[in-house]
Amino acid sequence: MNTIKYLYSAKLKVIVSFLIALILFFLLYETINLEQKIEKNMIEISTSDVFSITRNNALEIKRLLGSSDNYVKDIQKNINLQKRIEQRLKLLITSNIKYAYLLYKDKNETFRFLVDASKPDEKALINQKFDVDSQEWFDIFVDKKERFIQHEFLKSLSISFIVPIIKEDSVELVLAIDFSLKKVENINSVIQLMQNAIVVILAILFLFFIVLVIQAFNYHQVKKTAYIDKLTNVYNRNYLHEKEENIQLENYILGVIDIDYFKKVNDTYGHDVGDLVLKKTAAVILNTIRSVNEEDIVIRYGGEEFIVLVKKSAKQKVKNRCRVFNRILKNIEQYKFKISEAEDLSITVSIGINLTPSKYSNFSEAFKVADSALYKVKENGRNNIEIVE
Amino acid sequence: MGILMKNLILIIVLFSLSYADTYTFLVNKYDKEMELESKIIKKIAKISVKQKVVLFIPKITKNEMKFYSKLFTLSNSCEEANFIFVKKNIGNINLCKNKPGKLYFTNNYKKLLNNKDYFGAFFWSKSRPNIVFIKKRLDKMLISLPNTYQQFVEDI
Repeated sequence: MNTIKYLYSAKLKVIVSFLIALILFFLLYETINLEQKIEKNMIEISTSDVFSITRNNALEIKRLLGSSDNYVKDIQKNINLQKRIEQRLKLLITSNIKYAYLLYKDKNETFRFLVDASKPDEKALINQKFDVDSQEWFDIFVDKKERFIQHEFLKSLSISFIVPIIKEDSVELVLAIDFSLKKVENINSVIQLMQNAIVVILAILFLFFIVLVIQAFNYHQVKKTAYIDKLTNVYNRNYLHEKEENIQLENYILGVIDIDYFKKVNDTYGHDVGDLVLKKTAAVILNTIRSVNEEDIVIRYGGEEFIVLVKKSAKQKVKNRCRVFNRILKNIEQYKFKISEAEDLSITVSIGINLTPSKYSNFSEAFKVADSALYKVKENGRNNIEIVE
Repeated sequence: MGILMKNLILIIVLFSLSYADTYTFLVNKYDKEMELESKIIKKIAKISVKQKVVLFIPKITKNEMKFYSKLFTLSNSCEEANFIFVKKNIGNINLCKNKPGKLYFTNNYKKLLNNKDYFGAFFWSKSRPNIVFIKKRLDKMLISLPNTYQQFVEDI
């Protein structure tokens, strides 16, 4: 019985810990997802205006170039035009936008600067080669659509926004702006605040779960102790009161066992021996029923009286199941209660059995019938069994 | 409670580690740049110098030395080196000019254009790594680059 209880308890712990881990895992996963969604949305919200301004600049550059036959050559040749475009691009530079520049792609598929609005120390020369870092730069010449490129590995850059400047359905120039890491860092600082709050909530939840589990196990342990008779290690009357209404009487045979002349044992040998007799009698009952069925229930009803609920079996006939009471009777009769080094004590019990407790309206009524049968045995000389069908 | 705690801690630790980069920048960005730069210079030096590369970086810093010493045999003087990578603003790179067989590389595009001693440059343009070789100087120095490097060659 104890092994089963231990296994049950261990299994329960594993299930509970698994469930808690699953919940925490889910919360963490959702938190990370949420964080990524928020970051994406915040980037979109905080950059949408800049994107619009950049688009307008691309249109303005196109307007400046007017009816030019070759945008690239015209800019290369016209220093005044370069300066005017540079002035426009300089307006885009802010604390968040690090670079703004105009590129073209030569016949060797190499990107080159036409205009760069960077500070003098970082300013690229006209026609200077520019090694791009993503296929997206080439794709813009194919689909002719603006795009933003997120940089994972670049020094101090977070995202780039590139806009095509189209002439006769062909991309001639690309206007590019690079956002500094500062932009994303600002966004991240807001997310960090949210993240900290979520971590605190998760930690509180985690602690709450731990406390809940500890309390649940403690409660389970306390409740278990409250139902067990400390002397005999069988269920006590509290257990019967708690479970009385839930016991399916049709599934059990109800037996009442009373130790014969127990008062005499107490009076003659003292309460210590009395306690020993109770303890050993309960142990014999438990050992006897354990060898038959783990589902049988033993309750110390009070004093020297025990209730034994023997589970009926579909395979065995009721009378066969009654044999367990015969074995209890004989085992106790044969047991030598060692009360000192030199002296053993033999005792007997009387047993009253109600074979069909379900015939009665409740446990109490069914018990009374078994108890009456027990009383009959006592009247007829003890150490026997009386069965009521 | 032992099983419960062990399971929880194990799962949370594994999950958190798998997402560690979401939370923090674990590596110093400056070190990442330096590491990338040293690896690129290693490749360029290897294909440019016919024999074992002995590198000299004028006014080398401790941090540069940390990364470059892992990949190169470093020299304290220009004389003993066969590949000189000029990163700092130094007035005169002609320390070894009279001694042939040395290749000069820079990290500045304008220096590359203005000084014919340099055959190429590695520099950061708009925070992106850029490489430029000058064709005439490669030819003059009898440096032959593999096809994969042709995209960096400029016929200026």
